[in-house]
Amino acid sequence: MDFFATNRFNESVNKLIAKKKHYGCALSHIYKRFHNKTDTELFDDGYKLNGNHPIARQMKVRVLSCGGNAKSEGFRLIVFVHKDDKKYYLLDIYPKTGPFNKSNMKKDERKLCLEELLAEKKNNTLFTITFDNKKKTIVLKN
Amino acid sequence: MTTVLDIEKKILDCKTKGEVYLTEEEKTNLILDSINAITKNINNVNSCYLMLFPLLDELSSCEVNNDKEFNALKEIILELSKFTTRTSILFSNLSKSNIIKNGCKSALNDLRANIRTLREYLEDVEETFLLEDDEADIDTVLSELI
Repeated sequence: MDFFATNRFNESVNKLIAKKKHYGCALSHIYKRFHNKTDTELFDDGYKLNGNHPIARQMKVRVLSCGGNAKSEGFRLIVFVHKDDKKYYLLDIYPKTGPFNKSNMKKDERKLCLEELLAEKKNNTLFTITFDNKKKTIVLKN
Repeated sequence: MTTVLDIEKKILDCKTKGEVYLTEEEKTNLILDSINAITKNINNVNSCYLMLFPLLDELSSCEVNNDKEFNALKEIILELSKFTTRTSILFSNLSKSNIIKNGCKSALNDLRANIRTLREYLEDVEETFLLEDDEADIDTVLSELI
């Protein structure tokens, strides 16, 4: 699948990695989460927020935390996957612990994420995500 | 007839057996054994949590088609809510002791994170299946994206 990110995701992730001590590893954990995954795995892996849609799904995906051993804390990614187009969109990211921790994302905000995606798709302002296999991280390009 | 000397021997044997457990090394070993046993138990609970999460991801792709399934869903929410409450009490009780809190730090941190994550899942499941909400708006955006 091809990976893209919205401006909201770009802003959120930059805000997080600026806090190096708590969230400095976010990009490399996102890399590990999606690297070498098959399209089927990418389409199925995560909590489906709009049910079992056969083509497109908004999902919540768990990503490991920085340094901590806990397998279930860390980050949550809100994503949108289009199976037929083979496109995977990262809409937002929030941490479960640390200074920017957030317990959950409300439905209204998730809807806003989708609206922003729609607008950015139309305006062609999405970020392209590439996987840097040497540095084991993801790179966002405008 | 039992003599004082006989009793003295028995008493001293008894005392010697007890004294083994009073050496510093033995005390440390006892504490470490207990910490290991408690850590193992906490990690068993953590393993259960980690098995639950993918199942709840799977549940999110299901549809509730009849009353039987609806009741099953309510039962899942009820039982998992009880499970988080019981685990929270366990976490709270274990954290009260400094020895356990420090000795089982990593396992307890995992446990706290798992409790929070399960609560988050339960919120999501309730929102997905139980809350009456106007889906029309979000469906419009989704259909435009598809």
